[in-house]
Formats: sequence, structure tokens, C-alpha cells
Amino acid sequence: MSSSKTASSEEYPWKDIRGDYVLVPVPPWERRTLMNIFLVYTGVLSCLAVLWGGGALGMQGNLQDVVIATVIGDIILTIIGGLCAYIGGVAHQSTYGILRHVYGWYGAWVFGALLSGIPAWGWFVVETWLFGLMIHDLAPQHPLAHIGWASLWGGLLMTTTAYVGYAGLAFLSYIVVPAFFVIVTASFFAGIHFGGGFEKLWAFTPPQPVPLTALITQVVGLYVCGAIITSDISRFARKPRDGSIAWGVQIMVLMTYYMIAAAMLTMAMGGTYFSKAMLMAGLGLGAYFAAIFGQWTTNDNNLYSSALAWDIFIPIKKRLLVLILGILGSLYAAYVGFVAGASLQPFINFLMWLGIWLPPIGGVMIADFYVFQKYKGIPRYERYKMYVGKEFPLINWPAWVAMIIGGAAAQGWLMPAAVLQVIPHSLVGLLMAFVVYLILAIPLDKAGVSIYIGRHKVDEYGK
Amino acid sequence: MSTSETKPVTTDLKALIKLPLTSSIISTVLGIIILIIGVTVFASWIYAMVMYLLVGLMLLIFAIIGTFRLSKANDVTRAGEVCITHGWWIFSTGVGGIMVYVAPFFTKEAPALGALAAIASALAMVLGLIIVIHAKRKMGVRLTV
Repeated sequence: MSSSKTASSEEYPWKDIRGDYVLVPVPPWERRTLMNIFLVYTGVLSCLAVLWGGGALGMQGNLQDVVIATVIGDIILTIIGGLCAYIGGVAHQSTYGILRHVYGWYGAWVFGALLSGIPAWGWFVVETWLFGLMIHDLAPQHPLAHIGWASLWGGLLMTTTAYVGYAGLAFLSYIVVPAFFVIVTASFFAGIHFGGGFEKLWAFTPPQPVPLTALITQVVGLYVCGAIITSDISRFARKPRDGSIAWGVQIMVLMTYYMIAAAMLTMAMGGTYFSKAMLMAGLGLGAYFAAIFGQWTTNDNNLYSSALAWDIFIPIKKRLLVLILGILGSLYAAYVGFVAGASLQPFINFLMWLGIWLPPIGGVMIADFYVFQKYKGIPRYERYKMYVGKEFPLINWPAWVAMIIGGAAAQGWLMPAAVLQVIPHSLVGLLMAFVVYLILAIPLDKAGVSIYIGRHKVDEYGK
Repeated sequence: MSTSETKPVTTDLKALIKLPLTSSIISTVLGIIILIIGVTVFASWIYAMVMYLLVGLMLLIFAIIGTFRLSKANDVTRAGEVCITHGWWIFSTGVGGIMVYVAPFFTKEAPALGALAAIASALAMVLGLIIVIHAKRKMGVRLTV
């Protein structure tokens, strides 16, 4: 542990001026165990959003379809997230640091902001506002439970652990994850009992059933952006494969469980009424715990990822950036909570639209690391290796082109509608970007045409 | 890790892990107690049984694996990391248990057993915290490893 902190400047020549290793690789003495990585991932997953996602499935399919869709969707997420997490485990750099290798120096700015800077901050605002709503539902009479006030203090609370950095996220996840699992399980059983018991589940048929492929699309869409930024956490892993294992286990075991159980609760009660089920069972304390900590462990990660992305090109300390983004986000959520009639729906629609453009960014990243770098003959553990004086391209133009084509395909602009009904939008975008990048990059490289524009030499600060 | 595995276990280390090891063993017993309560209420209230079994099993697994890994640890850092991981898990499971076992829905058929399970969970929570604090203060590891 700390003994290895004495690593010489030859072994670790970097100076972390922004904090939390935003611009430089994570040093060996800061790397964490597999269990730590698993708990942080699980902390992100353990939130009410995933339960609402499962609940939405429960309104659209019977139990058999929901189980099949969840398992298939989770397998897809495991593969995408596992591949991305491995890159972080090898490079020990954040997603946005990795984007420098893939898209070039400016590409990391543009696509980092697109991938996380804007969406993760946006979701921070939305989830802070939802937190306010939830607290208001639990204690409508209390002044501090007014949607506006609850959004404000909730947002600031969530900012604290993001301000501390990775250690703060991990600390909260250690405390919350098993307790959240127990409490949510209790709410499932209570809800199923009050909703009419297990018999009702087997006989349930949705009023407007949707095709299985649409259910799979929803499962993948729920977390595919999270799957692409897995490197933000896996860069702290001691072994390259740890991030992938941790990601895979939490998706295949916990996400599958949460989604199916939430769907069952919805089938029994007619809606995703976790708080209601908990209050009916007398689990008042548990309802507060799940509402506060469930949102907190997820939303601090949103803020953390957003700050990581912005810090690639905004030259201030990461903690200050977290504070600024956290306060702005909390104020925005509180404003919406205070102003009667205000709604975040247009903003949510914008974030959903943006979400379709994100998987292609991951598609190019996977193609470059696993295929193009291999084609170039670079050994796996040497790929994306950072060293002082390394020259980055300013722009890797085939990567930009592939990403744009992938995004357009996912939007349905380049694909027949029938394809998008069978294959999830996010997967279409990711696969299209993957293929287009390789079709462009490999033949161009073979023909001796440079795929890179410009050069930037990195200094000891990672700038 | 292979180098540390060959190191002999020192008397200092044995003394250092005594408290977390004892706490871990007691947590194992608490897990077994909650499991027994779960089996006891099997016929009367199936939902409560499931929650007793779940918490009991989680506590048992976290504590028993922690005990095993701690007794195998050959250096202070390794022992400290095991303490932190398992200490927090035991603590958090205890927190979850307390919240569930004070809810009337799960204890309506057997309030006394519910109270007993809540006390066992509270004890587990305290023991988990003791393990973590001991690892932080005496073994010099971080609160998250």
C-alpha cells in the first residue's frame, strides 16, 4: 500500500495537478481491489432509476418475456461494459483520457463533453429533482421536504462525496450497497403481498404488450452509456481484468435481480410503488434510506464523471469543478422544484436524444483498442500507454467520421425502420461506428495515408 | 501476493488480528442466529422467513469468508484490507437488518423473534464498525481499499 508510494519519478513521472488523476494515469499505490471496484459499480447501479426501469418493463411484458429480455439485455451490457472496463484497467486512465488516444487531443474535448460532460451533469440535475420529488412524497408536510428545498440539500449532499473524489464514491458504496439490497428486497416482498401475492404475477398479462426486441432495447438503453464510461472506475483496478469482472458480475447478478424484481412488484401493484410498498409495510426508515442513499450513490457518480470530462480542457482543480457543477446543478433542480408548473421533461427529452449518440463513441473506442491497435502490432498491455513526451494526434479523422455515421444510424437516418425494431438503437450505433472505423482506418493505414491530423506532445502534468 | 504468502506470520500480526477475528466469529454466530429465526417462522409467515434467511445468509457469508481470509493473512496490509472489506459488509448488512426487523409487516407473527433479529443485526453493525475502525487505526489501511 503506502510503502509503494515511494515509487521513483522514473517509475511514476507524472504530477497530478488537477487532483484525482484526471489527466494522468492512476499510480500503482492508488489502485484498489476487485471488491472495491465491484462495490463502486454496484453503488452506481443501486438506485431507484434501475428499479423504475424494471418497473417499466413490468407494464409492457409478461413475466417470461421480462426475464428473457432482462437476461439478453444484460448480456449485451456485460459485453460492452466489460470491453470498455478492460481498456481502463490496462491504461489506468479515465474514459476522457482514453478518448485522447482514440479521437485525438481535440476529440477528447468534443466527445468527452458529448459523452459525459453534458449528459452526466444533465442527469445529475434530473436525479436531484427526482430526489426532491421522492422526499416530498415521503414527508409532504415537512418544510425541508418541499421539492425545491429537498432538491437543494439533496444535490449539495451528493456533491460532497463527488468533491472528495473516487475515495468518497467508494466510501459511500461500501456503507450503502448491502443495506440497499436488503431494504429493496423487503419492499419487493411487501409490495407483492399487498398487491395480491405471487399468484397474480403468473397470471399477469400487460394491457398493451410490446415485442421482446423492444423490451431488450429498453434494458440495453437504460445503462449503455454507463457501460461506455466504465473506465472512469476501472482505471483504479489493480489488475486489468478486475474492472471487467466487477462490471459483469454486478450486471448479470444484481441488475438482473433488480430489474426482474421491480417488474414483479409492478405487475402485482399496478405501478412501481416502492415507497408506497415500504410505507405500507412499516418500513418508513428503510424508505428514507433507499430514497436518500439510493440516489446519492448514483448521482455523485454522475457529477464525478461530468467533472472528469470537463476537466480535460478546463484548467482548474477537479474539486473546484465538482463544486461549481454540483452547486449549479442543485440550484437548477431546486429552481424547477420551486417554480410551480415547471417541468424537466424537455430537458429529459434532450438528454434522451443525446443518449442515442453516445454508444458510437464507445464503438470506435472498442474498435481502436481491440482491433486497430492489434493490427498495428502493439502488444495489449502497451496500448494507450502514457509517457511524458508522448505525441498525440490532434484529430483522428476516421474516428470522428465513424462516430457521426454511427450516431446517424442509431437515429434512424441511415437505417430502415425495420432494422431498428429488431436491433436496439444503441447497439446499431455502436456496431455501425465499430465497422465504419475499421473500414476506414485499416485500408487507409495500409495505403500509407495518415489517419491523424496534427500533433500534441504531452508534458509531465498530462497536459 | 505470492511473496507475502511465503512470509511467516508474526506474533505481532496475530495480536493485531485478534480483535477483528473475534468480531468476525461473533458476527458468524449472529448470522446463524438470524438464520435459525428464519427457519422458526417458516410455517407462520413466509415473507418474514425470506428476509430472515436473506440477512442471516449474507451476514454468515461475509463473516465466515472474512474470518477465513483474515486467518490466512500473512501481512498487516493484507489483513487490514480484508478487515475493511468484510467489516463494511457486516456493518451494512446489519443496518439493512435493523431497518427490516423493526417493520411491523415482517414481525407481526412473532414480534419477540423480530426484536431478537433486530438486536442481532444491531450487534453485527457495531462489530462491523469495530473491525473497520481497528483496521484503520491499528493497521494503517484506508477506509476503502
